[in-house]
Amino acid sequence: MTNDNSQQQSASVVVISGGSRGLGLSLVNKFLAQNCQVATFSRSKTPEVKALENEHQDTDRFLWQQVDGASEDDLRGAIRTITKSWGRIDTLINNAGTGHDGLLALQRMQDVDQLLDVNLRSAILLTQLCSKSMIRNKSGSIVNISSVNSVRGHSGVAVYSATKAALDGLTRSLARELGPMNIRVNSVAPGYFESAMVGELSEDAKKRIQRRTPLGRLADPSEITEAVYFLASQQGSFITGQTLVVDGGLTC
Amino acid sequence: MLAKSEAANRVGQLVRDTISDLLEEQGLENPGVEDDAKLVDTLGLKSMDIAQVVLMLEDELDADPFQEIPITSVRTVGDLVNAYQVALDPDSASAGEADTPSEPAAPASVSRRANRRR
Repeated sequence: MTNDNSQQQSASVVVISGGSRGLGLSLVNKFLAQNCQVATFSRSKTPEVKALENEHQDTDRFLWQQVDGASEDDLRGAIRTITKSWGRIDTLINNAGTGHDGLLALQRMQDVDQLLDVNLRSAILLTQLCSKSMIRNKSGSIVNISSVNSVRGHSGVAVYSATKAALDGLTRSLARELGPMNIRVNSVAPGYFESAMVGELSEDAKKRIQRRTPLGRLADPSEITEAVYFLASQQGSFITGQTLVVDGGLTC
Repeated sequence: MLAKSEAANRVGQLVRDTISDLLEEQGLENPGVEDDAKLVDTLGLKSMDIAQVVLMLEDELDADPFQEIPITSVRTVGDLVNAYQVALDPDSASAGEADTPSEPAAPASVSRRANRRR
């Protein structure tokens, strides 16, 4: 997603972690619609992924792999398969994430470890693996999916917030490290949008969020997707090291 | 034994050629890519240049020694050559040298400051 004309864009290889549902699936569909080659992976195959596999069985533009996001071997294998299949990686979207709500004082350490592994360690590993291809090509774009929890404190999500704030730190330092190689790194910090995580909130909690949001509603995943696409694509060609908060004004 | 030695020589030559190619690509003066030449202080490479050399060598040799040993242990061309020779042949006679830098490791930032390109 770093090239100028549509002919070159059609060859862009985009890797999206956790693309079988929710925001990840929306991102997969967006980049496929832009003629990119899209690779994604998740723990299990959803009906939507099956449909995409059927739709693209002759196009060589969609690749799904079964991956445990906390497994280093799985992630290394997935990236190896992508680079063997398509030869390069132009864009990485670190989207996969998980959340465990609860007071830190009462949280099991195994849940803390899982959050750190999936939300942070895996993103760092994927970034390392994909950036190698980008450095070789002296071109690339990385977008980390952060959260409003990275910029505002909220009770009950301390470890989740820590992983997302860490991603923003990764974004800023990597932007400096990789900028000279023409590789941009940015974060998108979504507010609350219709997703499995928000689906777990009570109706009262959702209404409270809507009241506190200047735009008075939750986002549609497509609105987050467009912001990610903007940063990943040539449209954001002079933007790096930034966190774009897309939250309907919740944190303003 | 001779075959091993030839293989080690080929790895050494490949490392030196890769560094020379990068110096040329970067438009840097090549003062001679000898084993005792320091990557940063003598050749003027920055850390990202060294990363590029490592990635090019990974393509050529299908080996990445730096998942096992720290890149900060590599100071000279000889250190780099040895790291690959050990990775490709763990029984290599000079095994372990890559863990023993040719001089005490200085923080990368100090080296960079001392060798900032003009």
